[in-house]
Amino acid sequence: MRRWLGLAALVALALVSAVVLGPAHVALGDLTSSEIVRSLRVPRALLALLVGGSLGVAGASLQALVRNPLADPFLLGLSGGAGLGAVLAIALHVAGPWALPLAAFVGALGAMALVYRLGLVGGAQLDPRVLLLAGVAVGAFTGAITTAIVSLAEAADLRNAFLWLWGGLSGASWDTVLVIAVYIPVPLVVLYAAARPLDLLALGEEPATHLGADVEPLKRRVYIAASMLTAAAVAVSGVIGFVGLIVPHITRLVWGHHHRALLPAAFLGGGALLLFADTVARVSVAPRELPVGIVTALVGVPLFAVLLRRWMGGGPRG
Amino acid sequence: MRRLFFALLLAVACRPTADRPSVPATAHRIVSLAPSSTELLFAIGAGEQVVGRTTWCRYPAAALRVPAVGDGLNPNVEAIAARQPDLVVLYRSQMNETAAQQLARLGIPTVTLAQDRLEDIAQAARELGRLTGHQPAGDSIGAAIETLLRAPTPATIARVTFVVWDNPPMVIGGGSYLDQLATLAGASNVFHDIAGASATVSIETIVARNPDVILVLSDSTAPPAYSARREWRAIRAVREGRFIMLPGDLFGRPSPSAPAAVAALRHALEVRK
Amino acid sequence: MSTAAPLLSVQRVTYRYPGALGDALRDVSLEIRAGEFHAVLGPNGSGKTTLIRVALGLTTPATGEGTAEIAGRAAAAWSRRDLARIVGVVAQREDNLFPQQVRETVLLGRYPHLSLWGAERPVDREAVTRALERCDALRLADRWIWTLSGGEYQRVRLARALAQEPSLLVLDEPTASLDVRHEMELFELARGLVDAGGLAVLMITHHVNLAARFADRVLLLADGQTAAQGTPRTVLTRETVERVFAWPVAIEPFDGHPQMIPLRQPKEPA
Repeated sequence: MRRWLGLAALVALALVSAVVLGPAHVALGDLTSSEIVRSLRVPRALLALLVGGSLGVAGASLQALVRNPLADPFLLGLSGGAGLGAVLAIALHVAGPWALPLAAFVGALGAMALVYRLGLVGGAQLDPRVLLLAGVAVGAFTGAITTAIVSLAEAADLRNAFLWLWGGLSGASWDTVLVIAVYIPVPLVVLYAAARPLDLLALGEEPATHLGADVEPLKRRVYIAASMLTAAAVAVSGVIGFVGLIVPHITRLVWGHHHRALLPAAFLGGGALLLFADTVARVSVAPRELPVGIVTALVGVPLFAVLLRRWMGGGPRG
Repeated sequence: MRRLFFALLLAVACRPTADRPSVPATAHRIVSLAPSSTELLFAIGAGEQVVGRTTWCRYPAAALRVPAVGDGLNPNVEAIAARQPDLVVLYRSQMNETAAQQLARLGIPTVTLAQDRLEDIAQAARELGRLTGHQPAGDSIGAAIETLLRAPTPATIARVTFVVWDNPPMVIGGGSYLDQLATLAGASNVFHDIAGASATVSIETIVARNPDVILVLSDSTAPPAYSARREWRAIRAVREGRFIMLPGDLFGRPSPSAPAAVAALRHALEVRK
Repeated sequence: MSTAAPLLSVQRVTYRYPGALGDALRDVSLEIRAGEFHAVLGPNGSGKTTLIRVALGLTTPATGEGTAEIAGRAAAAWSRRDLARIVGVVAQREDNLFPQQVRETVLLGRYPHLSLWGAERPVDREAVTRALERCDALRLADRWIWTLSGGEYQRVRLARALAQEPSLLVLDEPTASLDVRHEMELFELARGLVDAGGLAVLMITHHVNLAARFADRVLLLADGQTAAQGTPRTVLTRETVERVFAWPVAIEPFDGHPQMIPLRQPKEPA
């Protein structure tokens, strides 16, 4: 119980600091009336929470699905698909403020479908190892096409598209938050419902079947739901690495492998991590801003190392 | 065995760099690998002597008739050599150092010019004038820019920012020629304190610094796409539609038309008031 | 034995893996009722594991090639969750990717009894404790899995299957890497569950002699076909065993059960 309180306090602290701190000085008394806070910081903080949370849950689910602790939501080719979609949207001058996120989303889903199709072996069986390989291959393939388009392009615009892909929450607004908030509950619920069967899957596919899990539909559901979460995250904030990889490990050190506790913890932990990282990204080199993906790596990796050493003493290995 | 390996390694690394071939007294077949130098060559009257350009060199219009030898990032040494130049003009950068060496090995003389700020253009004009036999024209353009730069800074009539990209938001800093043009036109770049040519910033920083006008490098008159997005409308200038479009021919790169650019910007700012 | 409907009923099943050259099973039948201990014996590749997979509906024979039923209903028609409430399986192998405590891993066996959203209830924890008790593994309850010996780990896996509260227990070569003591303990455990708890047990094993002493009925497979089926005494004759295992043996009685003793076959001097 203490662990949950601690996590909730962490999230609260992260939210507060994201709203109070920033490159522009806003006095504490003016917080509620400030335009900057209401229109920029609050939606950005909420978006960081939702995106970070989605990546944390997607990462934890995918690591259970492919039974590989090194799995990351972006290992399955989604970032490549999103990048290609975005670059095509810019190259074809697709109009509208939502053109870029929508194109990235569609691109990510396209990559998901392709990787899924490649991952199917012998009829309807999804092989997690083939899934991983297919993901890396599709990622490399789409990345190559994207790079080719960008290097051949005349406009400086297309070269700047790569900057978008590096990840950032600068596109946050109340509109964006609303779209994400409406979209993510369904995949999150699907994954939470799959939490217990995912515990069983850790024993292997056949033992899980004997214990009562419907393994093929389970793998399909988890893959699609986790990919949909990741696709949405990439669409609004580009590729923010490390969150999906590291947050599940950090939360596992505290909550173990019981997914009914791990998934919600990964959501809150991912949200908190991204919030802190974004605050650091905005404040540390003001007036400039760091790409948040760099901060998540710089913050997440040492954090993980510290926690690992503390818990290695009396705890489990791996 | 290991010693032999290291000896070989050392021998290869310390290979003497080829002696740079000397630059001709007057160059007649010039390949220009930067938009600014291409424009300068035409401006000083050496357009007929330009036999190669990059795909990014689009000004003046006459330059488009010159064959392109690749893009501006990574010089294509073979394509350059195929033009049989007696001089290659390079933009000063790390990557171009390698290209210069490769061209030197082929016996092609190169000259590397800084082309980032207006004073660089003045100097480049004089140098290119000397190299192409158009010294008076080169000196004249150089002098015009130097006069412009020496003039007393006019009083600030507007606070501005240049937004060059929206996701992530990128603005022009104090190190850019655009900042110089703005200052000369009586505009104060709210991000002048950023040392580099450009930087990524948070939207809230732009809101806090509250520029009067947003300057956009664009040939169209339509406001930029991001002006419809909710988070950008937190900036007063965006909400009020206070944009000034800067056409590419005058503002796209540091150019001998700098005096005309400054005048155009000043005029636009005064009309805005 | 009892006259209730059989828990597991495989009738004249023929099965070939997709793309295989020959049948993995041909015309095999097996019926198991409550309170019976069945052993399935046979050389490697004789179809033992395939029989289990067909019997539990993991694969389905083509139409007309026999039936497989659990508690009177076609095995393939059962939902996996419902089936897991009737049949508990300890497979040959399982992965051990993530560290767990014994209680946690045994609790996984309660999955078929838990509702989709509900949490684990006291009745589930009691079932875990009872299962651990029956397997003589209660003192291991708070240990981490990776600290257990092979024999202890097998008992824990058995406890997990028992936590499902099944009527039929299926054990696929459960003593493969265990020493004498742990092997005997496991067979005694299985026998005890049948005698005291009224469970049915189906065990695939290579240990012919222990199967002969503990099982009520034996099915001896060879090349996917039934070589012999019945009580250990009727199945384990010298002719049958020598034919199936392709090795000379002597059959000696011990404790009322036939025991197989492989004979030496020194190579002819060149």
